[in-house]
Amino acid sequence: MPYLLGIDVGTSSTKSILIDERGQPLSVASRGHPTLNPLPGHQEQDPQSWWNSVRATTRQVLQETEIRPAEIAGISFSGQGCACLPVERTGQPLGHAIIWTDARAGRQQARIREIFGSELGKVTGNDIYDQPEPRMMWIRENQPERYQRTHKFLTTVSYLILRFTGKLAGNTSDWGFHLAFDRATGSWNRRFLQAVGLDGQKLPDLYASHQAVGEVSPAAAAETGLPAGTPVIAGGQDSTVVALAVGAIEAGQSVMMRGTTDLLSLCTAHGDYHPGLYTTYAVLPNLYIRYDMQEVVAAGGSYQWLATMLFGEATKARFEVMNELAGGSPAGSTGLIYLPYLLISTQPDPARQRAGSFFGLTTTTARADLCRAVMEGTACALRETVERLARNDIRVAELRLTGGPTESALWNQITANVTGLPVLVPSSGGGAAAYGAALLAGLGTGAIPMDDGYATLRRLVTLRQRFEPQAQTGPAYERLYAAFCQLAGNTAGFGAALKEQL
Amino acid sequence: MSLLGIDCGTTGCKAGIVDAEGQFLALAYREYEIVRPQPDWAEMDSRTVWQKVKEVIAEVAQAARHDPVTALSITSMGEAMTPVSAERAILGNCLLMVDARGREYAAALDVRPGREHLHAINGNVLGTAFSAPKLAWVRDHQPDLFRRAHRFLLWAGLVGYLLGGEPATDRSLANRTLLFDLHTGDWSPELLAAMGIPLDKLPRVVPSHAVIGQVDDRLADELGLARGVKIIAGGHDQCCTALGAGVVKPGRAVYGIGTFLCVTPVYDVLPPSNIMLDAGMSIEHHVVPGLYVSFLYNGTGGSVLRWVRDTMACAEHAEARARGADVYDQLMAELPAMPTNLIVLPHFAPCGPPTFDDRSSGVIAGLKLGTSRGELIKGILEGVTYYFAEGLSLIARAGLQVNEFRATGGGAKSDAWLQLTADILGRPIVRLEVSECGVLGAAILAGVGSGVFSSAAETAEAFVRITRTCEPSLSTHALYRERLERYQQLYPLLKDYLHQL
Repeated sequence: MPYLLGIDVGTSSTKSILIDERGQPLSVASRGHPTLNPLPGHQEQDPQSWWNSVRATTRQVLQETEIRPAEIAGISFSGQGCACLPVERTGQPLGHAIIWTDARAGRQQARIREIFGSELGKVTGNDIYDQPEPRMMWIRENQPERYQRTHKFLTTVSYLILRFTGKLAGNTSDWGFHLAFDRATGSWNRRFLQAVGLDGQKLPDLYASHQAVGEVSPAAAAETGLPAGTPVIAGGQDSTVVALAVGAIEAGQSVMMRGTTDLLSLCTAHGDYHPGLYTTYAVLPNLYIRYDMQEVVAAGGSYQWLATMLFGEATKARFEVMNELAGGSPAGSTGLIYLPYLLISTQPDPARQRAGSFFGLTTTTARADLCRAVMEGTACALRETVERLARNDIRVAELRLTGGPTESALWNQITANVTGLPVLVPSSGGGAAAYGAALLAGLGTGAIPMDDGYATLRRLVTLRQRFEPQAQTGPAYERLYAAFCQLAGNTAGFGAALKEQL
Repeated sequence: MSLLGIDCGTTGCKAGIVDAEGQFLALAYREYEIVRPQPDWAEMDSRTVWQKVKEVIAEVAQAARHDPVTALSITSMGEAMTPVSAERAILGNCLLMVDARGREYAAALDVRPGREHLHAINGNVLGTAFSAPKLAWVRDHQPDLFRRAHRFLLWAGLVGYLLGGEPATDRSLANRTLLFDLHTGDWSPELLAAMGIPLDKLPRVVPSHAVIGQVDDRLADELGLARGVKIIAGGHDQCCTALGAGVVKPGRAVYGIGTFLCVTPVYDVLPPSNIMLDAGMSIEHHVVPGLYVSFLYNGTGGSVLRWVRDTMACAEHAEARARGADVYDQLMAELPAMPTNLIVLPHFAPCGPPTFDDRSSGVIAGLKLGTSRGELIKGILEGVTYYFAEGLSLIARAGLQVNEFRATGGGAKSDAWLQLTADILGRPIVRLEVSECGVLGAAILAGVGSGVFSSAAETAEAFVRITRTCEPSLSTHALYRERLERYQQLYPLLKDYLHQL
């Protein structure tokens, strides 16, 4: 009987999961890796630290389950998107990866905007977010020798493919988001590359996410304990893999990843440029993933921050206490309103940048109110997004949620009540990206059929809970949402004014 | 020879005995509770307070018996008036400043004589805090009590009267009734008529250093005082604190950091009423002749630190208490050195002048994932300080400049707090050796009234010692000026919405 291994290298940690043919997780292992901050605004990770985590967590799940490694049908990956890692012809990294949170290439971003003006979206298929091309340009301009020696630029998942198979390759869900890729033709975008002065030869060959890209090399086998020759499936960017994990596999379905920040991914049948939305390929054929990233909403991040404020630490036990406390505050958190914008805004227009804020504080505001206000504030931010999408003719009918905040039933219920949408919490829970990578390994190897209308896949993905919107909090939450919108609108611009000086 | 200063506040009373050099010989303190018969009523049980006052007097008299008291004076909270009989008996409780009764009478004053004319006569910005609307409420709702009352006395006058003096009040306290004429220094016939308060229900107005009698022999024996101790009128606590802090010259201001924060600038020329009213600012008599003061206050002040402690430092608080340490020292040590990128609207509690808003609420804007507790606390304290920077810039338009702040109250012991205050206000702020400035101010008045000292101001200058001066950093002040501009945008933008929350 076949087993499937999924590996997710996220921004802060790596997870490996081994599942069986019924989709049941047998073992999960995770290990953190550090983000390096060599200069203000510079955010890097050592690719060797990714590989060390991959090696350790893979060995751990193999040991814990005591299965015969030869029974693993295939492996696949999920990864943080948009890292920029230059490697030599030998595959040796040229220094650290510049990751998606890095802010050094602002000038290069501005230049790209200048070059293409209002045509940018039509040329690249996306507006600028955190794609790696401006960082490639930064390397070319600031470290010309490093750029010269660069044989290929890789992302996190590309680097995993390299370490497992020796191939310099990428997948379309990861690279399909990038500025240098032309989704209309399915190839590198010469016009873009020429205009910004990047060498297309330095970009890897691409595979569809469910395609086999190679097999585990003897060297990788020796390091990980996997048998040499195990099929390796190309994998995908984490948000597209999560969509698979929670069963958002057809147009109209959506998933909200509640990590440090919220990310709402919508499945659509078409992938043309859409102002205000970001687009890439889904991990399944003939499907696209759209992201609304007008605002960066820190859902989990806000809760972690509040836990640190209230208790000096952000641990699971503290979150549970906070969930309990929040239940003791009434709907509306006794007049407290929270704007969950704790990260630097992606709004290019400073006048629209929002600031993380509490409104309505008094000396009698209790910890319970603060906890509940975070839940309600993130729910209001989500409702605002859903309403904006509806104005763009993209209808969200239900919300599939993953991530740490879904551990709180109250938070899920508040989300349903404020948005008026059913909230579904899939069983794959916090490890959804790794779980989705394992499913992808199954699809790529044929262990999970792709020609049965995904009937098998649907059976594997199960729901833990479903929350229907409740009527009784309706009036209170209408008032709350109106106040939220007014306060967010009135303080727009404060985010830019209060941005830390880099 | 020694001098007794008595201080009656809203949370407790103090008595302190000071020698002729201004050194404290004894100090005693008792607490009492606010009585709330209904949610928005707030009274003090005057009989209980009087009992506690006698206890603190007896305690310090015993401690300083080798150096007998020759004169005493009293400083107190403003506004609250207690009905008394001609036989020196307390007839009822007093209504505190925060009691909501009398709102309709204050509204009537807004129509006639109107707040502009009222400010021109009395120097106060119309509101329910003052005594007159509450006196009118008692007249109409407790007519029997009103009729029986020989006088309604403010607290300094009440203690003086109960000790054996004549029923009197000084100007600084009379100012807080809303029935006083700032310019004549006496009750205003026009305002008395407008409120329908008979003059004979009020005490005589005297200078703060006036002798109003001497302690009744029987009481002197009971309290352990020598016979013949002179009673000096005294005055409003904010003013006596100013005197005891040496804020006796134009250009100086008290920076009082207590449960709420009160800034008291002093000046020697009456500023134009219209400019002061526009700024939401009162004009009051100091306890030093020829000087005037204004009060800027904010209820968020120190109480917000207590809120931080109770929401964000429960474990540290319990642990510090177990060690006998002060958790605030620990919290204040967490403040980062640089100005924060937070903008805080310090309306966590009702705001007094210049904002006068009790329906607003606090805002913290600019939070980031990495915002630390120390940054949050500093951001809140910066917001509180911006509040005063804004208020002080308003009165600067009336020609009132402050060149030096003198810190009093519990917050004065924090270097970090004083430094950020200096950096934001762009003026030095000093810490004083004596923390009981109000009691010291009352004792100085006792000395002046009894002829021991010739001048209150000169005596204060001689007694008050500065232990630390925090000079503003010019570069930090420049950073804060930018932030102040952003702070000033916040309230006008949000006022209406905050009122709805």
